[in-house]
This record gives sequence, structure tokens and C-alpha cells, in this order.
Amino acid sequence: MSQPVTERREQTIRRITAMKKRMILERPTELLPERALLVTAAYEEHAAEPPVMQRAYALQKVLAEMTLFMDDDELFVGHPSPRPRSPIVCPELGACWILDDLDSFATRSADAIGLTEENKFVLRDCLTKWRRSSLDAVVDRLLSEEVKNALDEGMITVGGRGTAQGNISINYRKLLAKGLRGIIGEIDEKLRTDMPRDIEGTKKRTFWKAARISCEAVITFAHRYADLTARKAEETDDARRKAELLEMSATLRRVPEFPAATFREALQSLWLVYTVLHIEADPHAILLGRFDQYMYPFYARDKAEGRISDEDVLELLASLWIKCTAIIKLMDSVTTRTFAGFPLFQNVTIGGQGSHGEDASNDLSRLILDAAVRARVTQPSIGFRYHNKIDPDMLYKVAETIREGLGYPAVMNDNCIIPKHLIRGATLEEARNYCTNCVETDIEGMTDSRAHSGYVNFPKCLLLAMNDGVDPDTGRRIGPRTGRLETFSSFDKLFAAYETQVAHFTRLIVDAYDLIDGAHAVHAPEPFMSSLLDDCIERGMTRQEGGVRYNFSGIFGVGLASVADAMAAVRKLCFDDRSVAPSAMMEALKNNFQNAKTLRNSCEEAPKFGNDDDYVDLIARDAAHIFCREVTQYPCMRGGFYIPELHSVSTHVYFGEVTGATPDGRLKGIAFSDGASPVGGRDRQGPTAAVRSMTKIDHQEVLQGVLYNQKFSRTLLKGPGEVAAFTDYIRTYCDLGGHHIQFNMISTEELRKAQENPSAYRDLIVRVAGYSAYFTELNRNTQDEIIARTEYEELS
Amino acid sequence: MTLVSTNERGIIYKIARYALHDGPGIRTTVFLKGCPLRCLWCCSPESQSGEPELAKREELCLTCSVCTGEPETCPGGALERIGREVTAQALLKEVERDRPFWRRSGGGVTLSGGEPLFQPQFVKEFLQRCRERHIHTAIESSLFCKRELLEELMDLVDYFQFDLKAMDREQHLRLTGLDNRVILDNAATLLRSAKSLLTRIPLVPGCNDGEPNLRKLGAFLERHRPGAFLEILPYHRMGVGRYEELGRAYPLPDTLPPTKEEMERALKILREYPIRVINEGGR
Repeated sequence: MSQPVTERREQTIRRITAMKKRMILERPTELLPERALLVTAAYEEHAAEPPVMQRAYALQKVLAEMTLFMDDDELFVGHPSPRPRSPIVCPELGACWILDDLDSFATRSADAIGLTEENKFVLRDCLTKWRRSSLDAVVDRLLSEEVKNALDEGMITVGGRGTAQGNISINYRKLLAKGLRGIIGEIDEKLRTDMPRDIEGTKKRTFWKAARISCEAVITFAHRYADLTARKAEETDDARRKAELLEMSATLRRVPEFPAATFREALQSLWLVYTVLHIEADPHAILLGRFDQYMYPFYARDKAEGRISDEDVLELLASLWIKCTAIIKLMDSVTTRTFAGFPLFQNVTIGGQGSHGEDASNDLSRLILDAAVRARVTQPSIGFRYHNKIDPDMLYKVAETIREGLGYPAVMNDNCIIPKHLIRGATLEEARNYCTNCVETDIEGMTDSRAHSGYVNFPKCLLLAMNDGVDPDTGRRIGPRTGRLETFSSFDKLFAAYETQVAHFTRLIVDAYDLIDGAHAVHAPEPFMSSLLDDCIERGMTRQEGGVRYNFSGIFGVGLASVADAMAAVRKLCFDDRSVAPSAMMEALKNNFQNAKTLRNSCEEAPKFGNDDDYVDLIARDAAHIFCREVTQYPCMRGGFYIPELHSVSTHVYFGEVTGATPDGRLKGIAFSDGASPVGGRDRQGPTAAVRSMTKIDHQEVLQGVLYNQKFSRTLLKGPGEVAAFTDYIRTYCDLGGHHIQFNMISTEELRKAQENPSAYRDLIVRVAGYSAYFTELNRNTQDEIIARTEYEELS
Repeated sequence: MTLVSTNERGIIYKIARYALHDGPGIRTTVFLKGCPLRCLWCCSPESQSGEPELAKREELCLTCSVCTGEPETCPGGALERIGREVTAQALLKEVERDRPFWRRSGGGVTLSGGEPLFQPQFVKEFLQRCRERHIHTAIESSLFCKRELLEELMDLVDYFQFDLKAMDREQHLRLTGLDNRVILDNAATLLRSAKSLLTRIPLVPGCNDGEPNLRKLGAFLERHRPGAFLEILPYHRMGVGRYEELGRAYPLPDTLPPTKEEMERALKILREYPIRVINEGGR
């Protein structure tokens, strides 16, 4: 520790740069069959076991036999596949779609993944065995024709059809405090005291046994890594590296089996477990929770006792960011087009309140921001919890970090969000302990809120409402008969028809997702993750069965601003001004505004959301409200209920592609508005006006969250005075009741340059929706859409 | 001062929300139309005339056979009407939408232009209404106005921002079309008595960046308000397109923004005086 500061700092930078280069920037993506083969063998060996046991044995086999990855500069280890940026294959969940996409992985336009002919052959052989039994095969047999039709027409999407679902944070505090040995103790206690008297009891015991096998397998996995690091220590001649490796080896003998004693142990413990959560089922968005809270005691103690310096912590945290980004998930070609940029939606929460409502931000929160800036990679995002007692210096530092243009931290507003958790059933203390997804929020370690259960295409619902349930573009009947625009005597009649369409498609998602949810419970339980979630062990149920304390399913409304703009145009032209005949409007939409230049011009001139104009803003508010009302009425299969969210990730691009022209003047195929944000380029009255429009929507009732993605020019944050004003701007958004706001801090000119010359811009990060991505990895359409979003330039 | 009961009308051409450089905090800046000065470097030529006018963006013009000349019916969106009439009351209602942002940031309303003091009755009524509603007010002016008006405004304005473009009378006349005696007189009054203000100089190479002008400016500020803030605004050419749209010639076709060296030279000279010189963007 007596090393000079600058030298120590350079050492960190060298290590981070080298790791980033080897694990991300220069690492080709590659699909390897190892996990698929091991899981298939395990299922064959344990063919007579119930699925939860098969899953445990599969995990056991993979952890015992998989190729261990380790980078030469790593200070803590664990990676879910043999190589960085090599997604794992889950045949038990998605054999059918993976088989369908096998020939296109390497050639698709977005997120291509390398695959050799030999591996393709091996995978095809393996996956074919699962053709009838994988989760996606089961789900396909369950879904109704009506649902499949709505999916084909791009009215809805339904999640979890061939993949595990994440957006979940395990109870890290408990893991670090008890270790897996402690968890096994809890399980053994249940096995000892809870004898089966009925079928439920038998099922519980099966889960506990499966959880026990899984936890033991993870301990063995850690010991394999301990052996590997010890071996590497023997092999190296570099004294410093040898010491590091020996310490790592000793750490891996202790954690995650036993409670963590130091910051390094805690980090190694949680990271190895994190890795295993991917290996077990590979869901997206395994959250890192309130990292600055549960890690703080380790940091503070190590620091006080001279075991660690801030530079050490920065080095470890920057490594954590790189290791997160090195994990990618296999996604199908449709999903990849809409969720481009290999997002895993990993998220770290900082700031927020303690259990007594006090400001919980601390020195570790600040180090997290510094480390993210130093690592400059896409994952994990940071969610900063704002509240009224936040330390002003913390908020200032957050604003400065936003200026760096990483696309994060996003600002989450405690004032709006804590009451939502109370409505969702939590105690005040629990509510104060929520952690962030990209937009959604969950109480750490005890919520399974299934974001992405389904998405509704709002603007297409309007088109059906105007045309008696028939898509004007294709002439196909998709929705219920609700009359034609020509027959509506008032705008309210049109709105009522729209409500009916939204209600219908929401209901379809619920019907479909309940079936999928059930299929997950039977076929895709996760005994290991469940053992780290309250109260799965206590209840003897996996999270798929509803073992978690709080359960929800999230349905996303897509294109709110687009549909509000479209309704405002119809209202103005066809009802208020009566300057356009309804039949002329329908004709123009059908023909994609061909030969209707003047009409399209009038449509574009109509009021647009994002300009503080009640005429359209209140339509947006009402459209959001009826959606929330429809969604929240349905209970979900695991207990709890469905909750609404105004967020589209990048589904607004996909839905736009499959929807005809809309009355706001938008042409067929063009992307819709992102999240609840105004349509790109249509908010022209400056950021304060856009904020006022945004906050006329009642964020409080949108229980899963409201995304506001605002593009800000870096020129607006040049000096300290401007950064301070920006913090006041954020505060005001929160005063007005906003749920979430994030900023894309980049100049359009810079993005265009990056399009033309991608090799010079590999490092360029943009916020796509709820996540950040390397701009050059996005497809051209997504890039164009990002460029189109309004850039606020200072009016000079 | 007594309450103004009339409902004065003014002509404005733009409202900028989230303005950060027109006074403290997050501000809502109202640009009034009409200005007696004709500064050669003016970047908002649309602000000069006191009447509403039309601008045309040629690249958007569809060259329709029957051009009505009305922006409202222009299908390409090439025509734009600049300037609209508002009452003080309606304007207040419009800008007050930003009140939550002012409250958080210590911001408020700024009247800019054009020359806001060219519409004195409207400005007075508007500012008085702001006073009644405890809104922080700022004004950005050339100070080309009657002394009495300025004195009336002292009670209504919390923050003054003004340019001293050239200290020499002849030079000022050549660059702006007007004599600067009234302006300097008003500036001296403000510098001596206003609570909160900022003096600025647009630094235009070849126009007002000569050493004698800078020295006179420094001495003037030293004499009337030692320690005063002076902000240097480097000349820019972002207004060029606006002249084209209005069908006017740009008065300084060959002038370029000051180089880094030219800026540093000016800063060096001004920093010899006991005033606080700030470089635009550096705050």
C-alpha cells in the first residue's frame, strides 16, 4: 500500500485496458455447444426424475465438467461459458427456435454470433433430441390460435416462450452473511422438520433436495476455480501475479461456501453465484441490486483496517463492469432486431434511502460511478435512486457522470416509486429497499415481477378502432368489431372503441402468459436461484411456482406518444375542425398517404405530445390510464397480479415495422415513440415543456414504471453552473412525479460520423432504451432512430 | 408603483425554455421583436424589425404553382411567420408553466430581444405582474433607452445583463448605427446602483477587438464598479442562415470567429483591470 498513487493508478488502467481488449473489444462472438451437450447428457442420465431434480442434476453436471474461463489479469473469477462473449445454449428451454435460427446466427444483421460448421452440426444433433420436450415446444402446443394470430400480426408480443425470465435480484445480503453452507443448513432444517403428509409436502421435499444439490454443486464449482488459480500461481514467474493468484485461490476455498469476511471475498462470492445463475437458466437482467448498500460494510471495514484502498476498489469494480459486459445471451433473430446490442439488462442500484428514510448514498456509491466511467463498457447500467434528502454533492456527481455519455446512470425517483411498492403490498421498510432494473423496480431478493410478460401495440389498436377491428393496411380482421370512424359521432366514441381494442389485446396477453407461467413452473424451475430468494425455501416452492414473497407479471404498453399524436390528429381534423372527412382519412391511411400530401401535412401540423399542450397531452394521460386499469385487474398465476409499464425497450421499432400509416402523419413501417417519451423530433418547445407533458401522465398508477429517454446535448452541461442547473432540472422532474429519466448525452453529428466510420467509434456508447449499447453494433434502423430523437441544443 | 390595469400588447418572436445563460438558474427567456440597433454581427436579424415578418427556407420550398405566401398553408413548411402579438397577461401565463423549474434552480424570466425596452409599456406591465407573483426577473438590453425608463425598471428587475459593444462614439456609430452616449450613461447608472448585473462584450475581430477599445472598457468598469463581472462572448457566424431566409445580405461576410490567440490576447488586456473577466462557457 506504500506504492505511489500515480503508479498504482497506472497499474489499474493497464489491467482494465488489457482485460477489456481481450474480453470484449477484440473478442469475436462465438457459439459453443458445451452446456447444451452436458445438460442433454444429465437429462438422459436422470430421465426418471421430476423436472426440478433434472434441472439440479443438469446444473451439477455443467458445473463439474464445463471448461473454466479465466483471464490473465482477473482479480476474481467466474464466467458462464468457456469464453467471453460466447453465449450459452439452453436446449431445455429453446431447442426449437435455436434450431430454426441455427443457420442465421453467424450471418444476421444485428448481433451476429460466430458458429463453426462443426459446432453447428453438433448443436443440430443435440437440439433435435429436444424438438418435442423443450419449453418452447411445450409453449407452442399451449398457445391458442387467436394468440398466435395476434403475435403474427404484430399486435402483441408474449415473453418467456423459449427462454428463462429475469429482471430479478437475489438476496445478496443473505448470501454474503450466511454463505451457501448456511443456506444448505436452512434447507436441511426444512428437510428434517417438514415431513410430507400430502402431495404438496412431497413436492416441497423434491424442491429442497434439488436446491441442496445445486448449492453443493456451486461449492464444488468454486473449488474447481480454487484449483485452477492455484495451478496458475505455480506456473507464473511474475511474483506479484503469483501472490494475487494464491490469494484468489484461498478466497475461492472460503466463498461462496462460507460467509464473506472482506470486500474481495464478498465480490468473489457474489460474482461466482451470479455466474451460476446464468449457467442455470441464462435469464436476461439478473440484477446486482443495491450494491452500494450490501457491499458497504465490507468496504468500510476493510478501509478502516487498511486492507483495501479506493484505488483497489476502483480496480475491482471496473473489472466487474468488464466481466458483466463479457457475458452475452443467445437471442432469436426477431428479438435481436428489437433488443439490439447484446443487452443483458444487468443493473446496479446506487443511492436511495435507508430503512428509516435517511439518505443511504455513501463513498462506495461514488466509487461505483468512477469505476463505470473508467471501464466505459455497456453493462451493467446504473440506476441512481433520487429522493428529497439526497446529498447534493451525490446528485452533482451523478449529473457529471451522465455528462460522460455512457447512457447511465438513469435517475429513479423514490418519491414516486416507494408508494408503488406500498400499493403492491410491501411494508414501508421493504419498499425503501427496492432496487432497479432498467425502468422497473423490485424489492431486493423477494420480488419476481416478470417484466416483459407481453407488449401491446397501442397505435395498431387505434387503427383497428378506426376500422371495425380490421387492419386498414392489410384488410385482415384482427380485433373485435368496434365500429368504423365514419360512424362515430364524437371523438369519445373513437376513444371508447380504442379502449375495447386495448382491453382485448391485454386480455390475450394475460391468457397466453398465464399458460407460459404454468409451463415454466412445471418444465423450467430454477432450484438454485430459488434458494437465494425469499421465501422460496420457507414455502418449499421454486420461484416459478410462486415461492417468492412478491409476484407480478408486467405488461408493456408501446407507442403511447405515437397513439396520442394520432388520436389528437383525428380529433382535430375529423371532429373539432371537421376539415378532413373520416373516409378521406381512412383512404389516406390505407394508401400510406400516397397522393395525400396536403392531408398528411395537416396530420403533421396537429398538436404533438411533448410540447406542453393539453390538447394532446391529456389524450396520452387517458390512454395510459385505461391501459393501467385493464392490466391491473388480472391476478397472475404465481399469486400477485399483472402490473403495467410504459416502456418499449426497442419493441417500438419492431411494432412500427409491422404497422401501416397512422393519423399522426407517420408512414408505414416507421418506428413508434420510445417508452413514454415523445416521438423523436416532435418535442420542439425545449426540455421543460417535454417534462411537463411527460408528467401529465400519472406515473403513480403505472406500477411497473414509465421510461423517459431524453437526449441532451453535452454542450448543455459544459461548466459547473450548467451541471448545477441540470441537477435542478432532474429534481424538478422528480418534483412533478416522474418515475424515471435517463439521458443520451451525445451530438447527432458524432453519431453520423460513427455510422460512416464505425471502426473509429467502437467505444461509442448510446442509450438504446432501457439499456446502453455500442452504437456500431446496432443495425442501421436502430441507429437512424437514435439519431432522429430530439437533440436539445441551447437556443442562443 | 401603481398596478397597471391596461392590458398591454407586445410583439415577441421566440420563447426559449431551459435557458441557462440569461441570468441565474434555469430561465425562460422571452425574445421581443424590434431593435433600434443594427449591429453588424447581429445573429438574430429576425429580431430587428418591430413588425411580424416572413422567412423562407429555400431548400424546403416545393415551388408550388399557386403560392399563397401564407405559412399556414405552405405544404413544404418552407415559410415561417416570425413574430406574434401577446398580451402581458397571456405571456405570463405561458411562461409560468416553467415555475417548478424556477423554484428548484433559483431561476425566473428573462426579457431579451431585439431590444425589450423598445416596447416599454408592455415590458413594464409584464415585469410588474411578475413582481406580484414573486417571479425573479432579468432583462437583457442594449441600454439604449430613456434614463427615466431605466430608473422605473430598477424596482422591477432583479438582474440586468447588457453589452458594451464599443466605447468610442464614432466606432459605436459605425458598428451599430447608433451613438453610444445614452448607453454609456445608462450603463454607468446601472453599474453604480444595480444590485445584480453582468456586463458583456461580443468580441468581433476587426470590429471592436482593438486594444484601445478593450482598455477603455476595462477603465470604464473599473471607474463605475470595481470588481464588476465582464463576460467575453466570442463572435460566431450561426446567424448566417437566418439572413438568407429573410433574403438579406450578411453584413460581415469575411469575418471569422476569434482564434484562441485572439481571445487570450483580449483576456490578457482586460485582466489588467480590477474586474472579473469570464470566458463564455467557462462558468
